[in-house]
Amino acid sequence: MNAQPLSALQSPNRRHALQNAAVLLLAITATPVLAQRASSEVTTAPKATRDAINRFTQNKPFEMGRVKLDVSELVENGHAVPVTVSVDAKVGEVDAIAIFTEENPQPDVAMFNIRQASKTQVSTRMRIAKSQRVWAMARMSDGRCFAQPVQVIVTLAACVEGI
Amino acid sequence: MSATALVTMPARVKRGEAFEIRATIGHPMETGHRSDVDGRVLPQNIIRRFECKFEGNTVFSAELHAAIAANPYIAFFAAAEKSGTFSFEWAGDQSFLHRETKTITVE
Repeated sequence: MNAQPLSALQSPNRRHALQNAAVLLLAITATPVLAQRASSEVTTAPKATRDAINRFTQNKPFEMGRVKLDVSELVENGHAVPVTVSVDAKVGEVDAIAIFTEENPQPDVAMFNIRQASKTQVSTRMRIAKSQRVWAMARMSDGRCFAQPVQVIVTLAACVEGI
Repeated sequence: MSATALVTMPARVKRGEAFEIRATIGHPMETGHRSDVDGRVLPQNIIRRFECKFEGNTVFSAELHAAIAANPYIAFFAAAEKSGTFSFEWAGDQSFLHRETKTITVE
């Protein structure tokens, strides 16, 4: 409909065309600005990471914010990096928390199901192969997803040393 | 396969109050990306799943991948309405399975 020439506005289909235009405008303005920003940030991530994130979000767009990844931005030893992910939400509102990397051999780090937990926070220790962005994601019980990427610089990387 | 696991949590808690559970288990979490001195790739051997239950109901579970550091450490929060038993289970490659239990008293 939108591909029709402007003269369509003068035709008997004018009402139809205007309706469609209104719907389109609404769809554009209703898209959260944050979701657009999130999408642009994720397009710079490697495909494997994008695929892993899409599996977690079930291919839905996600927004920045609400989830916080607490990790040292300068890491000396990438073999065991303490990380804490917390979500600004009520207990029971968050279904799952996940961590993804961009440059590790595999993008998946861990996924935590915290629906029954009594605080929307989880901590672990992870491997960071080299300086890269690490993503924390949260999936709410209503299906909405939130993300926070953090750039981490590693001086002694994991996965390189022999035995 | 035997393993050593350490679960730290309070023995007595107030009803419904959130408390932290910290669980660590001795495990190499071999990534499958490393090789030994002869250049042979060491097969992947990791813990895939961790689950915490209270009186049979799942409180928290985790799917782990190779990027979790050796001797996996996981900390999360739980609460209890009554005294009971928390059980913890780690499962992974090479039929790895380890269970721990901890009792808690609600005041």
